[in-house]
Amino acid sequence: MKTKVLSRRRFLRTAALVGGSLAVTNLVPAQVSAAAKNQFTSSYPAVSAQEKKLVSFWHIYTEEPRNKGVEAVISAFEKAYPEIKVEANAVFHQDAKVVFPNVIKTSRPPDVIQLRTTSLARISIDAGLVMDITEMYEEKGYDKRFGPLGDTADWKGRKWSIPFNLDQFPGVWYFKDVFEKMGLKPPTTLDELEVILAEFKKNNISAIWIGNRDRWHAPYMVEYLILRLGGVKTWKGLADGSAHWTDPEVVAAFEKFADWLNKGYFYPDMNAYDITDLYPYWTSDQIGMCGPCGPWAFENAKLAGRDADYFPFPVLKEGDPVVGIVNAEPFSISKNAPHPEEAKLLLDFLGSKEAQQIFMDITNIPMANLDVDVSNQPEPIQKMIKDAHTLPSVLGFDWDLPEAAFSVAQPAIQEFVADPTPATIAKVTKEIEDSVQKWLQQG
Amino acid sequence: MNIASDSSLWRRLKQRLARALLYIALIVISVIWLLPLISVIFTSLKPEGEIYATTAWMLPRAPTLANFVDAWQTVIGNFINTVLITVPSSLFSVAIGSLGAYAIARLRLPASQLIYLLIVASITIPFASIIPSLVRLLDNIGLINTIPGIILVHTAHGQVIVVFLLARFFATIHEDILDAARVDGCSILGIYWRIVLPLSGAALAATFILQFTWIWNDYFKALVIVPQKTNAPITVGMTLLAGQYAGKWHIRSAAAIIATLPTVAIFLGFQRFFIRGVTVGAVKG
Amino acid sequence: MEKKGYFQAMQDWHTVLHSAVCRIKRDTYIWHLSSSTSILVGYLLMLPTVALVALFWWYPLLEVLYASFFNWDGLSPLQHFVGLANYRTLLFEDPYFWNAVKNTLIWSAMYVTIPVVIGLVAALMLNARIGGENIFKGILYLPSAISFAVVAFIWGWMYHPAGGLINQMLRALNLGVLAQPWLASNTFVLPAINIASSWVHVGFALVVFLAGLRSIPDELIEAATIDGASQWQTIRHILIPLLRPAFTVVLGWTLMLSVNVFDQINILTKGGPGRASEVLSIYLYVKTFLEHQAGMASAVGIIMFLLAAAGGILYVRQMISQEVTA
Repeated sequence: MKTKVLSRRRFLRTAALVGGSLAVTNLVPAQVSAAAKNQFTSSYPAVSAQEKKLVSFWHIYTEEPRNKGVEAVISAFEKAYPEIKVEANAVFHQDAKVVFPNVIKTSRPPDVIQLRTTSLARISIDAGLVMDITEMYEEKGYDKRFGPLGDTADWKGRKWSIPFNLDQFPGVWYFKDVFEKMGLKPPTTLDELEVILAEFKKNNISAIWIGNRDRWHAPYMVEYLILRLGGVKTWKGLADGSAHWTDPEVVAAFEKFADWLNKGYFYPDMNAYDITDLYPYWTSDQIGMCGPCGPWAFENAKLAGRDADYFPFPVLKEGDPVVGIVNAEPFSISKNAPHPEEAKLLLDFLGSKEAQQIFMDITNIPMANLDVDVSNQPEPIQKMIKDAHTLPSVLGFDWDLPEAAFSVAQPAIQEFVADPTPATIAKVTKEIEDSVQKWLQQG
Repeated sequence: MNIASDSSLWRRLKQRLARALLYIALIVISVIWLLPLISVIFTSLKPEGEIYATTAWMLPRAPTLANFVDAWQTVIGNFINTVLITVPSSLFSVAIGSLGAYAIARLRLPASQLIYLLIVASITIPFASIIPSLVRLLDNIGLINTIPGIILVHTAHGQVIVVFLLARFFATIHEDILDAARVDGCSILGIYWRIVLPLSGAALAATFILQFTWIWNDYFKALVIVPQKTNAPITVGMTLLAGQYAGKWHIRSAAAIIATLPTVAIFLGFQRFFIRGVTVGAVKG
Repeated sequence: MEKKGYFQAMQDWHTVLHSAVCRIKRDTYIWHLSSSTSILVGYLLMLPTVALVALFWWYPLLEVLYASFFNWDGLSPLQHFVGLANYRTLLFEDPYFWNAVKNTLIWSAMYVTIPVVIGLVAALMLNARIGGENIFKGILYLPSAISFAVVAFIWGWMYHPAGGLINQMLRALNLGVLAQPWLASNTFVLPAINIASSWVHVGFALVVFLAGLRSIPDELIEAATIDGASQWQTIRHILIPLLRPAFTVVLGWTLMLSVNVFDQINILTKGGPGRASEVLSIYLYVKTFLEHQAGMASAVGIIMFLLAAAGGILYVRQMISQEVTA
């Protein structure tokens, strides 16, 4: 008993002493701040013992194989520029939405930063937080490096970022052996796709899956159907406000999706599943296809010991252009970068064929640089990269739509897939359109 | 005599029965409480490829400890950061907050009730909305992205629950004891140190346990204030195990188990302060 | 053994404490609360707490209030003053805002009942001095030691429509008709996430109730038992009234915390399906970080603060006055 009380007394005494001393220091933030600023901001990015120049680099590649890929790229850079040390910092992709806008505002922002989504990039540019790199594009001939993908860096007639990997080039993933057994072949038109969907249904197999609990997967299907039924013109119109969500082409896309949902082609309750939840049903042939899905479908099928193959999302009728939805992950330099010269060297390296080749060889992810050599990639990935580089493409919704509209569209589409009726379609399209109009009015 | 022994027998039987029922109820609750955790334990022992929701409650087919090794190697630095953040933060917040709570609860100072309500009401300020100004504030004093910065925020934000909890408990100490002590010549601090603290062992332990647990598990505050992985705690470090298109739940489960152990240890360790009448007994002995 | 009454026991207890704990100092100084020195000492004791809270809660709150009068993207300097327009839009033109208010109220109502009742019952049971007490306590507290990211993942699997434990059990019990896609159901999504959070929050209620129960002297309970009170009467007439301060803390804290619920909903559903689990804090987050309408989000934050603070303060005041009279 006695020792217990003594130890508690000691605990309390220490606590009070330490607490009191902290309290005193807290009360004089002004004095502390000057000293603390010197002491701590210099360690952000932390100073290494060597006399190397630093460059800080914040990205979202947290999981294998992406983290391994980016590590290899960084060590290649440090080998090419031995006087520079890269302070890399990875942030989980969901958290980057919160972290990156905050960190770019501070007095010592990261030198090179991955401003995902066009809307975040544009707002940061408008707020004067991003460095204009138009000159780099001109000097180094980046337009040739990235082709049309370089357009993703445009805003207000200037260039602000370089594209790295292609976040998504979604197509439909399937298993060749299953298709052979069922006597099916990859479709090129929506009608052919419907035949396949019906065939799976006849065999009591869900034809295709979407895991929409995180809200971004079903919008892919809507995106592709709008793109196929309305064409690029409608698509771009939706992003700049010249086309409307209540237009017949857009409604038709929703109706097509609703038709497939009502016919039971999809694995049921798609809003209840995370994308990672449904792989085992697919790889054990309880579901036919994954789509629209990115190269991650291939990786996960491989983990389950299956070889998945890919076809681009089918077009409305024979001869239509096969337009893909591509989001290029961009890297920018902060306007207030503490090490602007080193940042430019790193940015240039990240855009180079050498760096992007290293990243792709490790990750099997399609890259923006057109010169990367794809010959040692698995066959379906090769096909996908070729399509991504040669087919015309547009940016995805979550990147290109006015941000207010997309945050309305996500829950609205979730509501739609749960209840695919004409009434819901009318309600949902009007809801999204209203939000776009409101956004346009606000300027 | 017969009646008396009957009733005492009946009483003993009733007590036995009540005790048995109590045990059954506790065991049922415990099983319900543990069920969800089983999936984490199983998952942490499975290799990748075995980890899907459909099989979450099945024993691992090829159990492995490799996940723990992987997780440990990835988050060891962040684990140390968590200790460096949590221990001072929870000590400071309980120490500072108990002084404030004492002043609020036991000294009739002008406006102290208003101050109390303002402190307690602070918890209703939505954290997401103060992120921008908090980040700017810490940037201005040079503490953004540093461990002292997050300690400061945790200490400040912890004041709310510490003051709320302790003020209520301090208020229950009987007026007479404090009055007598005062007459006997204890100073304000003397009463705090000699009477209020010793009488509040259970409350102090509870407050410390809660603070420790919450700060240890905090994710969102750390994410905003120390997003740089070299300074971030384990909760943020763990997200670096996850990816965009793959859950990596086997490694994350292992990391979660590693991260959970210290808080449970602290809870069980501080249990001894919940022993009833510890103060009285100690004084007598 | 001598039979002791309630008040007798109370007095004995205090006498023991008083004579034993405070060492009597025979100096001349007698503390007067009215003297200006002791008032100064009192305020000095409060100062660190107040300074910290002011700097890291109230000052940012004032900035949020200021920002709520602007059309602001959260990144550029505040420029476009719009007066009360943000509030007007939210209160009169924005149906999503009211949906979020409704969901928040539903959430709070569930959250102040489920974990509090379970926590109280568990604390009373564990107070009965039984073998293996620490094991039971540890088990019930275990979930609070897990971060919400992991909690959300555990419960995401519990609620998995096909493989989840809940639906599998229902099917095993031949109750397959009751199986639900819990997190994709407009009706069940809020209760489902609430139960997941309660699983965690019980640890808090348990710790506070136990601390309360353990600060009640044994003598009181012994006295009551000797007076012939039944177990239930002891709980009802002695333990529960003496637990008032613990109730104030648990209920008040839970109520105020429930308005700010964020992590678990954000991880599990992000407010979906549709907007069925979109509470105010999720709405605020979306407005700030996804739509970059930080001015509007600040207005949401201020309204949330006013709602929760008003409810919380009224409640706490009420409870405190009851504590005094009790």
